[in-house]
Amino acid sequence: MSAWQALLSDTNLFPAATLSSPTAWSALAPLSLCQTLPLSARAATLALGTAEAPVIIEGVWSDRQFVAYAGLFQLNLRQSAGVRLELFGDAAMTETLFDTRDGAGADRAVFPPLLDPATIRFGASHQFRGDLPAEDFALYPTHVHVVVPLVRARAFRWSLWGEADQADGSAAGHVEIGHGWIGDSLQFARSTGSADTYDPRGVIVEMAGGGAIVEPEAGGRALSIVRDVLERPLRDAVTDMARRVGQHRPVAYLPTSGADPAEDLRWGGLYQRRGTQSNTWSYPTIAQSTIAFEEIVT
Amino acid sequence: MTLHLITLDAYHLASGHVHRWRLCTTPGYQSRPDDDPASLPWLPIVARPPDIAVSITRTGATIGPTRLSVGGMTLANTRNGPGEGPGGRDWPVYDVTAGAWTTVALPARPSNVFLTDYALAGWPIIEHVVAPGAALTSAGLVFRGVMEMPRAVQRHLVEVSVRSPEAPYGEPAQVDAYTDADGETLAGKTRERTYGTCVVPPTYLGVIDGLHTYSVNGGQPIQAADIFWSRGVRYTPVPWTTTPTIGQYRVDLTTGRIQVGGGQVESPAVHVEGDATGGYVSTLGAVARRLVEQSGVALSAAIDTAAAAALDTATPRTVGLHLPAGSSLTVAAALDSLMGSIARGGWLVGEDGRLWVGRLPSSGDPAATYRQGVNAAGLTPRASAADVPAKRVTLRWGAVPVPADVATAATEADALLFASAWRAVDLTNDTVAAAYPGGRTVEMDTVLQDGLSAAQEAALVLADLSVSRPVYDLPVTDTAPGIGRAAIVHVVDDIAGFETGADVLVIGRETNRRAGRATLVVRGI
Repeated sequence: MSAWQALLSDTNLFPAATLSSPTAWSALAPLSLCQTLPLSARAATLALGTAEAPVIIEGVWSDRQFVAYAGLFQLNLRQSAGVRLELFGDAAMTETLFDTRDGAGADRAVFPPLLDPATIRFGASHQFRGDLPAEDFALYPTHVHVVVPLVRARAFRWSLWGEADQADGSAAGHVEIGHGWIGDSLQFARSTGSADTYDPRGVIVEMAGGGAIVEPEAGGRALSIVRDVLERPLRDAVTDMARRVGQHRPVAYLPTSGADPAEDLRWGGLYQRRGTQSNTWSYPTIAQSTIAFEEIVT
Repeated sequence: MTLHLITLDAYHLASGHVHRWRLCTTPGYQSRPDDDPASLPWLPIVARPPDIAVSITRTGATIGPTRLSVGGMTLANTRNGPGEGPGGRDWPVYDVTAGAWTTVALPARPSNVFLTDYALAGWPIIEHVVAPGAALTSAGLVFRGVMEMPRAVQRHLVEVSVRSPEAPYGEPAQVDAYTDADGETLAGKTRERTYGTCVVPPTYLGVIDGLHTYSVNGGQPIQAADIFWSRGVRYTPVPWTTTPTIGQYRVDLTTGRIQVGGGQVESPAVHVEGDATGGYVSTLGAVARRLVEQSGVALSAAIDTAAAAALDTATPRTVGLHLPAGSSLTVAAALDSLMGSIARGGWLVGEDGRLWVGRLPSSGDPAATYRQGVNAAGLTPRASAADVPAKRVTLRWGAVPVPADVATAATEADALLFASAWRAVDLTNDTVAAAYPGGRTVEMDTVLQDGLSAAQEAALVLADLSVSRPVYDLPVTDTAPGIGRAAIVHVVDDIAGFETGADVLVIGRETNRRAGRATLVVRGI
């Protein structure tokens, strides 16, 4: 078994939850915007949260739901900002099933520190926190991923606080959330031949005097996940997923299930399936399959 | 990367209110909290921004009708499940009529609202470009136009045709029509109008109060009708309180009616100082403005009155335009004949949405600089008539209705006046004629009404056209935000005349389907 388990979540229970929030939201960008796509329509608060008075989103379902993954997509929070997810077994939010705080009660950041001294140069912007250099972090859309040991929850509460960015990197006085996700997940290792692809797209115009000019466009990520040995339970789950999501519904994907935050930042996100689901039989009980995904940028 | 922001006004059929929708291309745009409107998400359903081509005149000609072009915009209209897209949720929309924000419940196919709930045809559409995540104030205006009927070209795509902002000016210039009460020869015909001063053939209304009655301004007030001719012979004016006898006429200035004594007049002609609704005007800019206001195609607020006034201050030109009864001339055609009467004259709906009339600028600060290989693909010459300089200009002015034959009783001056329909100024540039035996001869029929103005304009036209001004296509790599027609840009290219840079005049622009593929049509300034 690979050290890294990829994670796929194909059913989002976030839109089905009844959301409430004590935080003030913009009149034209209410909280409900983050329950639906497009990603570019983001719910926006009027102010930043603080550790004492964070931005809070609470959601309750009518009955208990399996939760193994929760995420917030297209945030504008900086990587050092704080985030907390709590899951509860009851609608009154008293029976805590899960909490992102560690045993000592410390909260996690939007981007959990990696603390690999070999990657940190003296004087770099991440010298003391041990996370990613701020300029590298800005290359990717900011998502928060929380991988949860499977629980059956009735309610959840997100708390967000700390600094946020405008699109140009200047400080923002509000928090934006593009889309929320919470639900069950499928975790498995990728086989040799799996590929992560980034296509910068853009229009290339050859110039008469030589050279070319490029009109940049929104680049997009794509994935190709190969499973050489697809056994019965996973094979059925992947087939069910193909039926469930078609080519148009979103899935949430993490390459390392939270084990390596940098890898999850670079390739994790919302994707759509592309192409057919086919199981190629290499042995009477074992099939081989490739699933392709394309990132949702809108 | 450039995001295209579309702002469109649409008439909500159910409420009768005008709603302002804001749409954009992917990956989408949301304004900042300090923008107005704050934190508003733009609906990212524009699959293809408007594909448009507009130009100030017939490409290449200095004088010619403004071209109205049609392009199209495509909106995505795929069916969303709950939470998978904007379809099925409430979307914020600005209610212009109420002056407040409201929400519209989008159907599962979001663009269906434009097919079923709204009227788009004739309403304005504005396109801006902006960098992703940038402040709304940094967005540059690309295009302003009006929409036509949307069509569902495919189940998941809605196409909205877009026309240039001059499209509303395709309405008839005469709004009122004669009714059955005016007699069967006139019933249903549009009422004649006279703007400025000119000699017009009056409309015969029939016998009213025992007198043969004529009308020159469709029942609207006029300033004066100081000469009345029949076959070139003048009638004597008498006050309205006096009943005219043979050879006499009287004028009711409040209705523009003329009554004559005796029998019906042969070949009548009237020298009129025309429409005096809200004050008499006779100079070109003011007449153009009056014509537009009276035709109802644009509100006074939608006219750049300063530009019209500046034209009249700089070069006051007495003009007259008569629109005969039953004519269906459009406002655009009437403006073409007005503004086509002067050198470099033009009209267009500017970047601010207001009607601009005046002369195309011949100098000014460039709005942008384009360098070949840097931010433009270089100038490509277009074949056009303007390549050849004009050696001779014949400018005709002071039109009169020519009678079948001029009576012998007419004075010598009047006989001369009615001998031909036009007076003419004929100027030749000997230098150009010597250099270019194949130089053009330009003939212009104008609405100018005095010889001095005509001579001055003929000289200006000749000076303008005796220089070769090739027309070029200039494909630019930005989308040329904020650069509209009649703007001046600076171009550096290794084409003759542009090695060290030269200013050119933008006479048209075309936006192709993909981002960043705008082409400016430019000509020498």
